[in-house]
Amino acid sequence: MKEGQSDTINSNSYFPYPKEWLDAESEDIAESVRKWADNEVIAKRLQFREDLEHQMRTLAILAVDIGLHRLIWPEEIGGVGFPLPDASSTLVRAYEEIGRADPGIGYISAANIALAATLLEDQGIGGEMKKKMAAAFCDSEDVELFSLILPGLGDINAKSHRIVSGREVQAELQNEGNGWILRAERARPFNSGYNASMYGVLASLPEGLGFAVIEADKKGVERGELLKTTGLSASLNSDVSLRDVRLSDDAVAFVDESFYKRLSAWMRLLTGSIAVGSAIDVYRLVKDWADNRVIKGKGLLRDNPMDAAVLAQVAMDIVNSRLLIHNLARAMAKPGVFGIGGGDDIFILSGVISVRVLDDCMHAINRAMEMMGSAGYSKEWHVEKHWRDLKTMQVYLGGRTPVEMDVARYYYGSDVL
Amino acid sequence: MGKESPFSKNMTSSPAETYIRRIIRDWADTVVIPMRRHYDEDWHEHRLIEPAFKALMVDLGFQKAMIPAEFGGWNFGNTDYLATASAWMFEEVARADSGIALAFGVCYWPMIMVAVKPHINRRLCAEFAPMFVDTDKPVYGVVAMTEPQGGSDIENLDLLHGQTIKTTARLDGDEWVVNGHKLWPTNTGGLADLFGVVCTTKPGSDDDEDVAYIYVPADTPGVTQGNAYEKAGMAADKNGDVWFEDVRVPSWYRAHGPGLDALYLKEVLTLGMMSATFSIGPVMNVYEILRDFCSQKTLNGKPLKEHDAIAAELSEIVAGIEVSRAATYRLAMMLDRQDKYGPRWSPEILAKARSTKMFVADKCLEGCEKAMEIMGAYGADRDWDVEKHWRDIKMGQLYEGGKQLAQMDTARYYFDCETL
Repeated sequence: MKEGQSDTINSNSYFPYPKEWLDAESEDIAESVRKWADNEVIAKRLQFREDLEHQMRTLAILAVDIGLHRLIWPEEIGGVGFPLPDASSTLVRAYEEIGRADPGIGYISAANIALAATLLEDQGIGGEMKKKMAAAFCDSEDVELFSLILPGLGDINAKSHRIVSGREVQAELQNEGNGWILRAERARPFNSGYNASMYGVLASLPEGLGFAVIEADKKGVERGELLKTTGLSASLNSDVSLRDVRLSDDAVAFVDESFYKRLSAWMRLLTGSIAVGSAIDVYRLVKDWADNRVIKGKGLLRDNPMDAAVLAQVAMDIVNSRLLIHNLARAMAKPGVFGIGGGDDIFILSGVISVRVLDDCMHAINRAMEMMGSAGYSKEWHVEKHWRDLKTMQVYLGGRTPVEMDVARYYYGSDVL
Repeated sequence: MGKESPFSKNMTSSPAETYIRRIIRDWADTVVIPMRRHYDEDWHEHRLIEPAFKALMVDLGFQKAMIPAEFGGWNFGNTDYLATASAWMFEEVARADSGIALAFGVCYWPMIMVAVKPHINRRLCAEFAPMFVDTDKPVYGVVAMTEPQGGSDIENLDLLHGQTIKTTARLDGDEWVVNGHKLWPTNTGGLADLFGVVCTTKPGSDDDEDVAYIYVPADTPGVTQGNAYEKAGMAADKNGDVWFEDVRVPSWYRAHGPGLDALYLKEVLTLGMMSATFSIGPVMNVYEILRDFCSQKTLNGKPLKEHDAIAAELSEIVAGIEVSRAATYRLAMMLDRQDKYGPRWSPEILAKARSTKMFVADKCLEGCEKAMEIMGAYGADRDWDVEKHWRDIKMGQLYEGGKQLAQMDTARYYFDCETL
């Protein structure tokens, strides 16, 4: 290690971020998660690979023992009480560390925290639903997994529902007597459709939108076959059909598009953080590889200008991505300056930054793989898992075009996109 | 699937191309495509992959394709259309499964040294051709090149001239004694039947005369194949360590001798760049999948293909396929017409082959990535097969020395670089 460099390449000073935006307590939390990442996941990678039981066990340590899933809930309902939206920078640091370890674990945890943050911030959601959710997050000794069913692609053969920001809502709610009926046909959840204990569903109402929370074992909930996916192996997904699922009033909240925009912004912030962490771990791996490789029978690979240029790109992508995602966190923490959470300003900013960060982190990993050749796609080195995980996360976020349409609407006033 | 693929099924105006493509497509559509979603879990056992491979190589006879007619083969190696014929075949096989295409292509690879004109070695053809033509089992050929130190340095023949090769060949009476450790050859991990081993007769020498290419049947005492590595994709392509410990073979198992082994080894590397087709076939199949998907799925109330922004992306994918095919078949013609373009072992042809393969792999990967993004969450599903092609194409971008060696080989020729 050269003078002036950090002694641990995973440390936060190696890739800079604005430390003044985090207090000591936030850094303590990040440090706890860092230790979890190193000891529970990274040190055991070769032993457990993508073993689901191990992933769920480590998620439980993170969510329950370390208490990450209680972090943002108010103390009076069992949480730790980190206030929103100020906790955004704290969460970024935590999810960077989780991303270093296993983006799949980070992804399902992020879906849960993004939902919690949205419910807590949305003033239109009643206290009963919040209490019910708080119990799931704060009182349980196990991880209660929420699966999100959000707008996305539609199907030409299926009944069309309301469109939210160009995306098609996948479910519908109908008022019936003293309750509600929820319907969806082969909806594609954002995460964990196959093994969630609860579903959070954004659904069309005859007028507007509703958000429903339902237990997975409720009558009428039908999960499809387990989907095999490229990455994010911790998120077991399947299509989900909701066949006339009956819900009481306290399981449904009237919401508007701001609910979706707020949830999207939180999800983008957290997945962007996971991507940065994942790329930082790939940096560590490719550095380790390059430190010992000789090229042309003599000098070290890292000292060859062509290879050094590729390695530099890996680092540059991470530096830029990390600064961007921390800036998004700061913007979300300052609604008086940058706009409120469910508004267009933050929705658009989160989309722009999320697309860029995911692209740059994928670019970093792709370049690292090119450098490593066959070691890049060998499971033993683990780089390929980060690559699969981030690509999966990127497409689950919906890809580039829907965000481009959002941006065009916002910046150019395009109103039919 | 919907309508016929709009991509030309005859890139070379040859009746044989149409006929061979049809045979392979029937095999692909009935044997491989219905089962390929299960190949990832079959990476070690090959319970599904082996029968599919046998159907292609033995039942349909493609194992004989390159072997000269006088030794019972189809004689492709002894014609002026070896590379173009390889392109048709590999593209069609890769449309179904790029890993099988790679295993298929590499089965020929070691024999290029002795079964391709103008340097056919009849004695070695007579020795090894029966393995390929008189059998009811698939035969796995291997070029054993990469070693634990230095990665792709061995492929960098024009600069290093074999200087970094650690696997040695020592002449002892009328036998070569081979010692060394190879990594990553395709068709190993227990599969290999015949190795072409790149070795040195004088460790540390940078003289092409000391580069030796020696055939070693896999059942020769002293040969050990390690277990297959687990990889991101390409389950049909098994790779592992191979150890040669005092392996003795007859002295005439050396392909051609001092100087010529190094020369023709460059041709082996150049023809290896027809692996560009291992990326084109998959992305052609991605197009077929996308055509259905984008008619069925909607965004903002419209089928994806009718959404102007998506249509723009779709057009980029197709443009990448068309340009990649044009470039690759053009390269194949250059490789076949040595009378017009010079020998396949020249730095010029190597540079042109490397740059084509590099461009095509990048372009096809980009097309696959676009497809996944358009498909959203479905792009990551095994059920749609696109993510499988994406993993396979990425691997194709990285093997054979990877992108950086391709860049150096290209720059060296076009810019007269002397130290790359």
